[in-house]
Amino acid sequence: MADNNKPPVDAAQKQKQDQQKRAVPTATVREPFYDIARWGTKPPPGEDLISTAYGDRVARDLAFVENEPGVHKPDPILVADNVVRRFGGMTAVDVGHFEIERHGITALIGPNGAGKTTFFNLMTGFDVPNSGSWRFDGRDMQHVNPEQVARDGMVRTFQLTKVMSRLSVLDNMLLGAPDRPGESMVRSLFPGTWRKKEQENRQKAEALLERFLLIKKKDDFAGSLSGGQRKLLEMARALMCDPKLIMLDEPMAGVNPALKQSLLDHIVSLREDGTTVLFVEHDINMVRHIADWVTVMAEGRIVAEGQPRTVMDDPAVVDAYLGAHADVDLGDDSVLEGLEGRV
Amino acid sequence: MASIYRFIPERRRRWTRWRHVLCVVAVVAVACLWCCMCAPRAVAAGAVGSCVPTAEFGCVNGILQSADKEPIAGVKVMLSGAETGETTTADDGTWAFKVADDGKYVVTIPQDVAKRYGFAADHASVEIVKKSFSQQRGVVRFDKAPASGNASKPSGTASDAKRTMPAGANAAAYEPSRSSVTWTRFCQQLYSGIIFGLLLGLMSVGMNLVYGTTGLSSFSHGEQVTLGGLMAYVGTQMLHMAIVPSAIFAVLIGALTGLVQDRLIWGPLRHKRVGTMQQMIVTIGLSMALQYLFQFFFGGDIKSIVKSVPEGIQLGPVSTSAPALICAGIALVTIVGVTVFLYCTRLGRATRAVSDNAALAAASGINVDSVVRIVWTLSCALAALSGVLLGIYLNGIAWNTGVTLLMLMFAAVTLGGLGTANGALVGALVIGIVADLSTLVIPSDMRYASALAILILVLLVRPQGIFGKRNRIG
Amino acid sequence: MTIIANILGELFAPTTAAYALAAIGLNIHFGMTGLMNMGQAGFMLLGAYGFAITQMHGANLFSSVLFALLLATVYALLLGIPTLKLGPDYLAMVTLAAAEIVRIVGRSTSMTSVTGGSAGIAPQDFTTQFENLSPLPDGTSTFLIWTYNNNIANSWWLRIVAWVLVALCAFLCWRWFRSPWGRVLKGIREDENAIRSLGKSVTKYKMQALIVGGLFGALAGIVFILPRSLNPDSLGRTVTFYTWTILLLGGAATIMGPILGSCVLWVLLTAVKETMRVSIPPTVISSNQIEALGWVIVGVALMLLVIFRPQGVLGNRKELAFNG
Repeated sequence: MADNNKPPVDAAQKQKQDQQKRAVPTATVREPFYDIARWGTKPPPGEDLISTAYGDRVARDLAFVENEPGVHKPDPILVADNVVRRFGGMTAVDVGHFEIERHGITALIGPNGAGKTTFFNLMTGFDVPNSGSWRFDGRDMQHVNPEQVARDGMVRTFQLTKVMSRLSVLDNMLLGAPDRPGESMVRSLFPGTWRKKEQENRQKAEALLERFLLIKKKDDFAGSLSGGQRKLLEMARALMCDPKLIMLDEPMAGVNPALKQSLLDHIVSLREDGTTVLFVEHDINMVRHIADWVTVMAEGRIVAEGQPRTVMDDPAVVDAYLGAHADVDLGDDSVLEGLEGRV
Repeated sequence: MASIYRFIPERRRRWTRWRHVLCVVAVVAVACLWCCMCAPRAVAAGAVGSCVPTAEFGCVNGILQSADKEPIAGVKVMLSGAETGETTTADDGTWAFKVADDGKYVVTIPQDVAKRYGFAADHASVEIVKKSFSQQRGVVRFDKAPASGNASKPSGTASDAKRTMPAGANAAAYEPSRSSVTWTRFCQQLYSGIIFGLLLGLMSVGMNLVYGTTGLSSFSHGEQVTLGGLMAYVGTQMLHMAIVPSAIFAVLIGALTGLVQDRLIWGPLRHKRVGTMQQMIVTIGLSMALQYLFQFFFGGDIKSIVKSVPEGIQLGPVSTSAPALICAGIALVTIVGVTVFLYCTRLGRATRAVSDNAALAAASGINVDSVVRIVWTLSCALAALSGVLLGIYLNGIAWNTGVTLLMLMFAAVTLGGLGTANGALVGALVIGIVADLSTLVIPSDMRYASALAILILVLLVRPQGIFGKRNRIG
Repeated sequence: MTIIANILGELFAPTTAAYALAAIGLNIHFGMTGLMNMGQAGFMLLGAYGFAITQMHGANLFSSVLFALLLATVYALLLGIPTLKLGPDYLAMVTLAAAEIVRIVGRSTSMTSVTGGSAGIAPQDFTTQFENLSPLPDGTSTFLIWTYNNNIANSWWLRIVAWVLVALCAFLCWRWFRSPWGRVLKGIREDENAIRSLGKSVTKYKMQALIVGGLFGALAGIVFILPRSLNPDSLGRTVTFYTWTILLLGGAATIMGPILGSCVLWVLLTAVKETMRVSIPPTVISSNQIEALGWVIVGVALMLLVIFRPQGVLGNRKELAFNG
């Protein structure tokens, strides 16, 4: 497993990738684009999903990338190098090289304790690594505090949903707005200076709430929402910041199956808005359906990467992650959870 | 030609230096707890060779020295005020009065002596305060004030002497560079710091156990300490029991209150899933209510548990008394006992498991509720025991003794690491020693402030305390 | 009749106003931002010292108040920098410890020339300028059943100034509560990591809240000492706990809660004490014991409030139902 972290890309391959990148002109993006998020759980009559513009492009780009851990990608938005975090004697995260493709939906999977959440914390500044460096959109993000990370466009959600229970749903949303003159202590005393901007933010928030089917709840306390609605609210709130990269920590955990399809559609629609998505999930079916790229972590390392279809057959995943249970259905959560204790 | 008079107490020697031209007379009065009802109204103060403050007698004493620390022997020292007396300084410059009454005293030396050494004045006044033990050791200085105005014609009246009491003008005298730190005094302060630290450790262990198992910082812990001391007072002075049965009685009452509190307040609050912050405010309310109930029933004065006069013992450079040593010993043994209990018994391991992760402990078959109940009971019993020991060590306990020490307990616990088993002892020792050693360089009535300042400094550098583990974020 | 006048007089007494101000400050700390400030008395004492000492040395009234506010700001910065990044327990202990340090240092005999030691500072040293500023004529006035001096000590002039200050602070608080700034603070109270993940500097906001609440505390300290003398021991821990009781009684995170809480607490407490004083002969319960009993009532009230009605008189029950 030690050699899994070596970047295995040779010069020839890089050239190939570069050619590939040039070969895809943006003009070929197909029109029109349907807002699939507005469908809710099922498409409205007469409408059919015909295009996922960014999805197609990313799929084409990634089709030529080798399915190897630590592989270089054509257009990475986040590049991490040698990120190591130790808790006492235990190494929680030891990532040699990792890239996230721009405009893609990348899934991060792995057993509990594989270091996925810690990796999220490290990337977003909530935790400090023992060593390592990472660049987001060309900027060095080492020693950057969480609030600055969010302002730079890398916004995360939490595994245990964090909503402001004793604030209304709309207030929760408004807290996510990026441009808030009224949040200065002195200016807030003079409503004239911020009322206009506040109104704009409110409209934006209401539009998002409508998209996430929460508009009816906008004046309720966020604490009164169900678990699934909280996940939706948290995701909507993160989108208020207009993030370049949104990192979703188990967006499906604890969500009612009826809402799951809707959430999936929302995530796909994020890609079509030009947002890059990185998400952690245990539900392999979901990963298969929407992810453009899958990265597998185990014991803090990245053990495999690849297309959703092929990564499941990757011998590294089968050996290191699944072990003796390679023949069972990965879609069966109970089996997966049973495995996690041992791996 | 300059010389310095120093009046220095037995227990807390303070060697201060003043300008060569001026004369400084520092009188440290150690007032002791004294029950007005039972003590006769004494008229004559006893002139004694050396004085150890006890339940019935306070001490006004000191050492007369010149600037180069040469003792001045054979000087007549007069005491007036609430009691009167007369003595002469010994070969080593020491003098002492044993007084039974509290109030204002004026210490006078012959005018010609004062003149001969170029003193500012020939008298110093001191007030013996017995409201609280932290005040009874107050330093009263008498120096510069008369020097500026009427240095050459010191007035002999007591009322004038009183006016010279405030010593703020001489803050410079406390500057480290000017105070001579002697080995003896260092040892004495270190020793009393260790004793105080041990007692503080015993108080804090219970508080830390409660924090560890429930996450609650109990503000009413100080009142549990007071309760212990007051119950011992009830045992010895009201029920006329011997000291040991009284102590046991006090500890049992303390344990009982812990049990009852957990049954009536903390248990139900835990079941209602009330947050620890809210519970903390409940402990504040309880602290206030208990504190003033004590005042209601026991009054505002200091109650002494033991009324006998303990004999002073000289251990090398350190002077002490047998009860102080015994108290420290009991405290140490108890703390070690609690540690052994936590690490070597089944119940102790269960306690540590709850402390580590209550949910996990519950899942592995530990009855968290009963463990927490035992912890509350044990914590209150330990607090009561420490109250008894404190009452004996300090010659008395007042309604607000516990609450005065609460901050120091918090400091000790935070310093050692919140919720860690051994942290409280180490933290308490650090706090006790820092508090007492700091009097070498700062005024003694600020010594608790120095301990609290240490707490804030430590939080800056190592927020998890000495033994605490850094938590995983996120 | 005098008893009733005394009791109702507490409704608008300067001390009630001082506690209301302190509770408004604490409301910004705790009600809005969720900061456990256990040392509001420290801010009050520091404000009081800042005001009284500069007055004693002949500074003008405006610069004295300014100096008091400056001291409170510096104090808030000193407390906030090490603790605001740590858990709420730490802030609680550090504020409590720091308030004690201020008091212990202030009452130390070695500080007598500056702070007056444990005896404090006498009113004639710092009230003269304030009283001279009064536009009211000398003498006493009677309004309905209350008779007070116009300008001196516990006067009508002080009452007017104190309550104008309270109204002003309540207005500021109201504006802040409904502004995006207040929203961020409330968000921090609910979950500071979530706020952090949305790109806001949580520490900066907490520090602003700590300073603003501390400034209100410093003003409260000035109002508190004007009708009496400055005595460090009268602004100890118990004042902080009183302020907490007032805040929780009126209802945290409400605008009028602190003011209502202060009025209700003082009127009720005075009523209970006065009734006991009249009805129970001093041979049974001495006046000291009645004082003590008053404190016991406050303590028990605080406990019962937190257990049975944590939202206070004005608070929103629903808002509390989703605690955490």
